[in-house]
Amino acid sequence: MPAPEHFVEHRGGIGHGPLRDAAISVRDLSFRYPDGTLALEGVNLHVEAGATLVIIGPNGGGKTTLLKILLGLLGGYTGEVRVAGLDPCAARARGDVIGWVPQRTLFNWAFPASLHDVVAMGLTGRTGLIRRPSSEEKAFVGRVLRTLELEHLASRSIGRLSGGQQQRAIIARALVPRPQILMLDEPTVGVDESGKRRLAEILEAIKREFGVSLVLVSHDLRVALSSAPRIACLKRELHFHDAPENLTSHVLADVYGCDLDGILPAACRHASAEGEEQP
Amino acid sequence: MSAMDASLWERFASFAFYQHALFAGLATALACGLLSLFVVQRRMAFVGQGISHAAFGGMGVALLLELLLPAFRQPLIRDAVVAVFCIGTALAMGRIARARRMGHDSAIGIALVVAMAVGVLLLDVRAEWLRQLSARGEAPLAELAYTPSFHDLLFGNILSIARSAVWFAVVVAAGVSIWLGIVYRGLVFYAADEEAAESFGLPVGFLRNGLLVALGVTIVVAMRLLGVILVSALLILPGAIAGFWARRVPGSLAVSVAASMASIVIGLVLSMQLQVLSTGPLIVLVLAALFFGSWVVRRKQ
Repeated sequence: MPAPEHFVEHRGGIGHGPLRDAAISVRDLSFRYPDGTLALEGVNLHVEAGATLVIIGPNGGGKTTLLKILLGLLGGYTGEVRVAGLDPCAARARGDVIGWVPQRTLFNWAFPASLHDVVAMGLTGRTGLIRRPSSEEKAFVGRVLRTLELEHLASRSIGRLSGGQQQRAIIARALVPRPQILMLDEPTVGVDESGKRRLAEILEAIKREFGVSLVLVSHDLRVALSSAPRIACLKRELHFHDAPENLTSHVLADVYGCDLDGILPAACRHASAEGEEQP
Repeated sequence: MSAMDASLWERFASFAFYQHALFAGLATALACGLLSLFVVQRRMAFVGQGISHAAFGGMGVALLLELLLPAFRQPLIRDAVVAVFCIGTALAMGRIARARRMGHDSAIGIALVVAMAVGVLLLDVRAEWLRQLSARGEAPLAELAYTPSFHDLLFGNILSIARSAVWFAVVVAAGVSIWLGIVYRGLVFYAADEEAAESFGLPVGFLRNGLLVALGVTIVVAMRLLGVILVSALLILPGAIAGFWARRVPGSLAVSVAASMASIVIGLVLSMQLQVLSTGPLIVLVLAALFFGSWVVRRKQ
């Protein structure tokens, strides 16, 4: 069965030329939990196609809520949210708009599958439940494995890989449907220094090779700094949404709790330290 | 051919219930072997237990309906009633767990005991009814005379496998295989990582319920052979045995189906040789022997 043509044509993403729509556009987004707590208030966010956004903010600041809304897993918000021009729920049903790498994947590592099998599972995001992948789609799995330096491990059992290799497998799986946006939730938690450097290199290679927009929720900016990202500082409201060098000390003091791991410019580091002294 | 082989073959050829048991058993083994991988990987062993105990309640309902309405005296209709009861209980377990935010194990535990209690009470009602009929001198209809004993319901009885049950088993095995072939890639993803499968746009609710329905009908077929208690052996052990031998899904499915079919054949032959022993428990012990044998042979893997 051939790919439904109207799906392939009207969208951008990997191998489909530049995208006209913004990757993510959020206007006046507010969200209230069922218990009445305001999790997000008047958030405006804009991510150009192919750009990188790092979202930082204290625990409970609404980062995960924002991600869930963008992923189409949480409804009941007010305001307008568009992901590649689509409603988030429609985008999720498509399966090939956002590649999602959760902080703690619930993948069953005892599952009888090779690394290649696991990465190829991502093809269902493109084909849906029934259609078999085309040979061109299957070949794309190999390209993703090469970019993520996993090719030599392709036939290994997934359970016998190291933690870093498994993480890269999950990132690869997210890329296989050729999403326009790759979203990673706290990818550096529990990763050592050399692992973080490795991850930064891999993400850089992914951007170069596939031109995806990258959305990272992270406490560690080093991972994405090389691609000159924009930073969003989230604590219920969006306190800052710009390039990191413009991040001023009083903004950081405002969103006390942004743990910047001492890698921002000196002024910001200073601000971060000031912030910690406040109650 | 030795004398024993000859007598074995002669007995197989001359008793229809052995043939029914073999063909129904092989069809059952195919369905169970295919589903077993998903039961083991999704950690649904207890779900299987819950559904099979629901079959006991379903049997109570079916046997009572049979007394009330002539239409339900068809064996196939009775199987259908049990299947509907199993599937209903399976879906109800999922609903209870979600709605009350309790663990699935607790929800299954509730459904399991309720279904068993309903089954026992309905069988009591049926027995009393039949007693009163005969006390009034009205002989019950011939097709009602056979009430399966608790032993048969709990541990299986190959004598209970009629020709219609063979067809039912074949249809169920074919249906399960075809459904699996259609949703194969999605179901494998779902089995490995439900959360991610959902974020990739797969209809996980459809896959989950489809798996429960497939389990429900397969259990109805398998419970004649193995009974309510032993049925889950055929849903758990083949997949667990495959874990020792195969490292990818297609290989696992092949090992799993082969192990369950072997257990049916060996169990049946053993029970033909040792006629005083029940078939169901023999099949279970063959599976267990394959499991521990695999463990010993492959423990270094």
